[in-house]
Amino acid sequence: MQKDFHYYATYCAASLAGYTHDECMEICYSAQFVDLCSETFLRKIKAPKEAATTQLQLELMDTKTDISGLQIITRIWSSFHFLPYDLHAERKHATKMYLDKYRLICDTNSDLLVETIKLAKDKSLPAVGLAMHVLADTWAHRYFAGTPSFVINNTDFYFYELIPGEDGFTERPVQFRHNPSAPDDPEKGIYTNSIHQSSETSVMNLGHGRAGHLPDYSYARYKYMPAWADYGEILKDNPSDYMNAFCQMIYAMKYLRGMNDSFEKNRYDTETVAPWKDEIQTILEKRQIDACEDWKRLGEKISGKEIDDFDIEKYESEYTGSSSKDDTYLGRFIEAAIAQKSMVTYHIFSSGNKLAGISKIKKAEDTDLSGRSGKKISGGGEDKE
Amino acid sequence: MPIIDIVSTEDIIRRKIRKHCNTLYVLGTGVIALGLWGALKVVLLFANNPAAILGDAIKDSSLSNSGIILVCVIILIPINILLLLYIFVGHHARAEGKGQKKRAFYIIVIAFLAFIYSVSAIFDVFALFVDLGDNITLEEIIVTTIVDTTASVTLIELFCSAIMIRKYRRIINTRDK
Repeated sequence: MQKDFHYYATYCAASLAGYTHDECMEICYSAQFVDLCSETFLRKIKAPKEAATTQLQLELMDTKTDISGLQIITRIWSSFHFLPYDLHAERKHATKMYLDKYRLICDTNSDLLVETIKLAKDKSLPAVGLAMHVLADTWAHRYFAGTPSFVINNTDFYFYELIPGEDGFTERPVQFRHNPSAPDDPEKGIYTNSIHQSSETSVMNLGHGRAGHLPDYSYARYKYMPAWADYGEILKDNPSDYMNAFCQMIYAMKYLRGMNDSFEKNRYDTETVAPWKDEIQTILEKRQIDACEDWKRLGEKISGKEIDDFDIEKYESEYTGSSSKDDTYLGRFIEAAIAQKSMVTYHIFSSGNKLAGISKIKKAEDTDLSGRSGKKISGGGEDKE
Repeated sequence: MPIIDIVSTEDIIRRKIRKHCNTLYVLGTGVIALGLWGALKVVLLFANNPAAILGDAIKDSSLSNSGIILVCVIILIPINILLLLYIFVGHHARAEGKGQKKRAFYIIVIAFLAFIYSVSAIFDVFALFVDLGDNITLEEIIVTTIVDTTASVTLIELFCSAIMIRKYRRIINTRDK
């Protein structure tokens, strides 16, 4: 997803969940900040690089795709943008190497999502925002994996956009081109994607690069054949998925506020959304590559307050000038990011998958996602590269 | 993953159609490359050793320059026709792989080319055990065998995929009616 949903739509959801305007601003800032907290930024403010929640294109270009480099990439992208659905998925006749990547495919309503939300319980507002970013991305980025893999993430010419019309939907082939400087053209169906690279671990095959930004556009409905699907066809309905993401965010934030006792999978707060459903649906269906203005207008209508534009430097001086960095906004975000990364990396490692590196539990208790009783994680483990 | 659960026979058939379409597209590209490679091979051979192609024609001093050119053109015509055949087959295979409807004539051409290459591959295998003198080395025969075998396998698979697509589409159309 992009700024329109992570920042403004999260603000709307937080407001509907009952947070005050100031709390909503902190939550939505954190949700958007997950897409910007790179190693470059952290180095600039002299913060620990382990808290990186994303990698810039230039950083990815410089990252070697040897074992260590791939683990760094997988750790970041799987923890924050492509939360794995089933770390114990089985597939016939699949090698261990293939299965490790197959098990990192992202989808909604996973056990890891429950762990992510619970990890943010009784934590700071930046932690809430970070959890909302992860939740929202499970809807947009489903069916892609947060590790560079040609055999999982590749797509081909079988890619059709479904354009709504009076008599239903019309299929139109999507034209992909490799021109990052040219904007996508929804009217003509021309989108930019990453270059075809048959090398298995090329960064071009990371996440949804091969599908361009289509998964991040709320209006897009399309069908395609992902490489992992064995010639099966995926139908992606973004307006529906984004609506579910929005309703689930409200449900999750109500849990985090203490209004609900538990967070369960496949639960969506449609009741709270009902009065605004038509307006939200209109925004989601509108064919535009940036819906910030529309979401901002809706957010200001819901809360009655003005929403500040996102400013990446908003909390920088507070962090750099403070002697007690953990008590600053960015300090709390960093703590949440490290905890999230540790939790996801631990679970990936516990499942026998070393793609995200080795993870050692520090705390006395941990929870095993496969259902076996055991120790419980309370703050995440310590990661080893 | 939930969305990929196969729920009906039609799903299985549509999946097979997509698989064969993908095969057509990939192998169609391969056939074009094969044709271009064949033409390039002849051009390089001609550039390095014209006598290998023109043979006695250039030794005949009674032939004028325009006569030699005419001989070259006559020899190049079948090569160009063959190249055009490859491009024709490859283009139609790729187009059908992308979902366009194509006439079945190109499948007949595929069958013809597959037959030629299969026979050639068989003769190449025999040539491995026969002394052909100094005209051709063992390494050349081995390489030719490999190339011809690869080409015949490619064309046979292309033929099968084109047939299977038509068969499955007929089944789908029958079920839709």
